[in-house]
Amino acid sequence: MERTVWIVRDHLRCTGCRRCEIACSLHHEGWIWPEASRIRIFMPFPGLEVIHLCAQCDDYPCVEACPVEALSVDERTKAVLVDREKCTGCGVCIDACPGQVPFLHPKDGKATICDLCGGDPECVKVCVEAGYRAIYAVEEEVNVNRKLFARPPLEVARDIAVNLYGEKGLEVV
Amino acid sequence: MRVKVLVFGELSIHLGWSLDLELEEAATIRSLLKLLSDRAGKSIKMDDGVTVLVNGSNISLLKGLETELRDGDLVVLLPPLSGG
Amino acid sequence: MPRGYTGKILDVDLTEGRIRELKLPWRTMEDFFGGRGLAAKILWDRLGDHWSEVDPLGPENLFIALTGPLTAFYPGSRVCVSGKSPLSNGVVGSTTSTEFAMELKAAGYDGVIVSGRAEKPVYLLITDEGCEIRDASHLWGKIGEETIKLLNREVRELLSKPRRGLQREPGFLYIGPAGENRVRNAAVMTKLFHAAGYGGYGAVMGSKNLKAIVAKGSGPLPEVAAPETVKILWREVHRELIKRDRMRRWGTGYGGYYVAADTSSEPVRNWQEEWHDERRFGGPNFQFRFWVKPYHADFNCTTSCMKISCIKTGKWKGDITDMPDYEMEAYLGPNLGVFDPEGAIHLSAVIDNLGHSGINIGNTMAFAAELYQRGVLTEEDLGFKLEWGDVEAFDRLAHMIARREGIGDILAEGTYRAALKIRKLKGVDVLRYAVHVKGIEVGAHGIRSGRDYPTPIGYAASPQGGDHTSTTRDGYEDMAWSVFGDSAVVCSFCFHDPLIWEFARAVTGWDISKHRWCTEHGRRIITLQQVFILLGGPDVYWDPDKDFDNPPRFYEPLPSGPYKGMKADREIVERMKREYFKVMGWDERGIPTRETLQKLGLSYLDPPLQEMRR
Repeated sequence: MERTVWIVRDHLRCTGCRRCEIACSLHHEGWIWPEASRIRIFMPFPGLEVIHLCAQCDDYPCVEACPVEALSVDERTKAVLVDREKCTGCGVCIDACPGQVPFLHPKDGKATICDLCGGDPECVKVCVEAGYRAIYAVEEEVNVNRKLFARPPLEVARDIAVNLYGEKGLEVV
Repeated sequence: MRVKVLVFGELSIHLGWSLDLELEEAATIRSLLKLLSDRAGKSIKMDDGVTVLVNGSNISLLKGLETELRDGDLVVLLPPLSGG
Repeated sequence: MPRGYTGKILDVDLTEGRIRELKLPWRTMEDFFGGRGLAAKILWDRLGDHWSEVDPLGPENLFIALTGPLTAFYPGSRVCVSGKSPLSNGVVGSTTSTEFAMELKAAGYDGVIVSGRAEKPVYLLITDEGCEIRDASHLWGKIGEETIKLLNREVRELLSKPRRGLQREPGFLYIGPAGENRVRNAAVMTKLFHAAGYGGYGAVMGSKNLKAIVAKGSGPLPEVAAPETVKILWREVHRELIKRDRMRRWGTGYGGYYVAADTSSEPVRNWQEEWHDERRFGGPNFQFRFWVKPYHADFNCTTSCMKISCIKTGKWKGDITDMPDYEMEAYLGPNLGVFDPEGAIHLSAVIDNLGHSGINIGNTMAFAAELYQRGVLTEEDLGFKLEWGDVEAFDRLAHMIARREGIGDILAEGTYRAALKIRKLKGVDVLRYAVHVKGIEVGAHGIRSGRDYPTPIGYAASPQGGDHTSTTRDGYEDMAWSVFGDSAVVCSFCFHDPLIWEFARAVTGWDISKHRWCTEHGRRIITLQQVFILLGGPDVYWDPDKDFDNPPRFYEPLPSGPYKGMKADREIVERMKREYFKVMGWDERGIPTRETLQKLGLSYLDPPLQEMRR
């Protein structure tokens, strides 16, 4: 079983600084563009920062679902790749994803999904540098557990809310 | 010449907060700080964030450490700015 | 095309229901920069010729929310709110941390100016498509937590488009019941526990029936002059901020103990004392029992000094707030005679939810408590006993003030005006117990011990009065810290000299340096603010010969602690004040001279000052 880079995500450690979004958009777009960042921090309530990011599900439902075969899996990194020429912006991949992680690019409407920066993700660098380690990279075998991290952010937020705020957490999302 | 020195912040622990000093005629801020350092038993350096005012003016706008002092001047030593 | 800016400001008239886009002259943007500075200029241009007549709580006043060229690029994204202050009748640049600042720029706007008054409660929704005035009747009356929950859901649903991806939450600023009921020192709130507290701009929003301003943008940040340099500096400045371990670890909250025990400058029981040695009010007592998130930040910040606390047991179970944060800690703690972390946390959560400013209303409540202590206000006046340390009583009082019920209606006027009213009602000179400067309640850093950072004229000579984030020093360095931070608009806790100046040059392409800012721009902005203070009105005017001074309390000797006996020295205050005015190019009374106005390009401010000069 090959080992690939995977981004561990610990929502409880996320400070909401969103430097990951800045680093990602600097790398992929050349400028600071949070809404074009492949990693997206949701915050339905203060303190409930949720790291929303492709988890490279082992069965790749998004790739399977794409009607024009615009999505594929990178041989080496196992990240999802989007062929922007083929992509029609239909959004089917978004519905197929258990966490609705992909989104259409704010400028050209093409499906946008984390490609792990080719195996050396930029986002984790800034988070680890800052000492938060809310996200960090590990090398491990592809496994079924990855899919468990593709969850709708509001669902995750409800969990975090109870963890942080106890019973009050049931009310805030 | 007589010069009044007000010391605010942590430095006041070592120097007291108000000093009336008799200085030699050609005194500068540099010589004054040396005198105060000796009294305090520690070196008062500018890069510790201490701001020095002479008659209300920051010495950076005057002649820095070479700013000359005159009889009746008010010198103020201030700690670094902060706030929360 | 000025770099770092979007170049467009929204101009909303709530009376007419009309929205326009404003483009300011480049020269104006360069001279006043953004945030605090630019807001002051806009206020002069629109209201300056009849300033004294403008009612801060009337439809003519402007509510301004502005970013600056550095916002969202430089660490610590903040927005600056301003207008004619209902407290000082001058202009304060009051800032708060929020993603709203970034979202506004991503949507294509540098800021919003709101004039007039809506017939019914409204909120503004700003997106790439522009600005919409939306009904807020269902939000009016709601506390902070509810407002956030409802607005997040509503706007998310509104902006969601099928099969485009999940819609993220917007950024927004809002008011609570305090602002809605025009409590004069009410705050403009963001993110539940962040507040633009000084100036009373929450009341200005409330007077316009404006519940919130919401922004969600989908674009990139504006272009900058030297993008590659900005990218490099961005990494460098963060490397420096990440080193600030103590700030991250402690936040400002450990101050609850050491500002008393060490520097002896923390307000205790309405500033009657400034020292205490209550170890249970120290950082660790908050940290290990109450912190649920030890490091919390806002957009593009690695100082991450905020701590989120939650009370998990007992009658206040479920309270969520950022504590300890020094000012809240002091003002809702020792200043109310409360030395119990849980009690202070509870009060902080109450204040946040009501949209009060912790500093300002904490000051007013302490003022009331001292009057109760002295028998000037009785149980009959209040409806209950108001003993020092009684958290429930202050909880109740905070609610009464927010609703302007009973005595709350008087106290809702802020400490100074409440004192004037009570003096009239009771025939007792209570002004000596009012700790304010130019109507603005004083921040929790006293001057009597001489150990803290504000100078003897820190508040007395400042056009922002009691605002501890903007104290006067030397007419030079004071410009760098707060005036620049409030105009660039970035968080002062991310300030780094010299990187911030390099950053400013790389973003704007302008010739900005610390020296130039401090001697030109900063002085220009402060001088303009000083003129607003001198003009004042319509209900209160400041007398330069009396009111540019410390509160009477600061001339009383400290009764306790290692600095017992120390107090502000009148002669020194007068001398330092005159020297400061001289450095600023103002006359002995603090009125800018014609020469100075000319030098700063402010000659148009001269006519109203002519009568004031002797």
